[in-house]
Amino acid sequence: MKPSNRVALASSNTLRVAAALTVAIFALALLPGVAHAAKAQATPPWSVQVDAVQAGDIALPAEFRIAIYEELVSELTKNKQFDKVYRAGDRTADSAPNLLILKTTMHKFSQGNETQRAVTTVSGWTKLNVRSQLFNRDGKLVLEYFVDGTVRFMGSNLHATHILAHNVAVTLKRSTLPDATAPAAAGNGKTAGQ
Amino acid sequence: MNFRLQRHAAFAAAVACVFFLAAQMRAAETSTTEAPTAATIIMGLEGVKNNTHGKLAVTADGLQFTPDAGAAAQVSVASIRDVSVGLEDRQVGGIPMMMGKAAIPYSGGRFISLFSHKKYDSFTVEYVDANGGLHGAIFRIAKGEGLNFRRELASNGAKISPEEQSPTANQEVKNETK
Repeated sequence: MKPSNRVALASSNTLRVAAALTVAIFALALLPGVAHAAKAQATPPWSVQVDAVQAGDIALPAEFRIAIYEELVSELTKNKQFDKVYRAGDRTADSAPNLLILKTTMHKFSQGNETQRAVTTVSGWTKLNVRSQLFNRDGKLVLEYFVDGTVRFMGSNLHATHILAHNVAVTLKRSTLPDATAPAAAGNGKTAGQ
Repeated sequence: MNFRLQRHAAFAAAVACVFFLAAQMRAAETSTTEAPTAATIIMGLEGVKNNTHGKLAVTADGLQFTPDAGAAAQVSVASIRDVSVGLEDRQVGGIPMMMGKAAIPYSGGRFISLFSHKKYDSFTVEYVDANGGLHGAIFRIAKGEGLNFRRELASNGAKISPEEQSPTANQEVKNETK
């Protein structure tokens, strides 16, 4: 074989390898998109309306009640489990096709003290425990959990509300929601949280 | 005789100083919040990031928060559903103080913690947006200012629940429903 032919053969092989590599890279790049699209199709098209927190018989300060509510809205929006997150009283939720209503009721509350926490490290903890219930439009219970949020060492008392809301969002994400086309009651009474 | 007169004069001056200072402090406590007050929005005000510092003021239209950098946000009187005031405490000095406390040997940082906390009012405003959705904004303001804001909003016509909540924070309270 002439040297010029050998060079031509080598360059064509290089081109083939380069082409194959390019195709492989494109295929790999497309894979996450395909997976994401499949996941998006699998996600039930539920929307959720976060109801105002009910204190029940517990003397819950207003800042805690509001902080839990705001953190729940924020965490559920960040979570992206639901198609849309509506606030309590939002009139646009009336036209949402598949709506779940999240009701939160205080179960236990212990307001700690940041100074006491910093000085002793074994007391002054802020502890929250709520009953989280998901209802469908007909008022049927879909899910029920007891969730905790506690600040033991670092952070302000209100930080417990962030931990609580995060735990609620994680718990809801881990649980299986019913089929949007045929919602059915599947209540359970698990305890989740820290 | 002259020495005794001087002592009496000094005592009278000291008493006058104490009364003057007490009067000043009372005046500061009962001052109105017409001038904007330094505040931090902890969470919940639409269009403003959480933990933003700024000035809070009651205007004829409602409650206005002007961040140190950025556009002001307003909550109209008509949209307010309730206002409440609580008392909280927080550590001053931020991360440098925390690091400093951790660096002190023999757990000396705990002793510093006793003096590095400051009390403040948490001022909570519940309001609704144009769609009727409930929002709650929590502000951190100087101790004693919360009730002034509450009174001013009430006099401007805001809906506020009649019973005035007494600040009950900073003590460990345990509650449980049966």
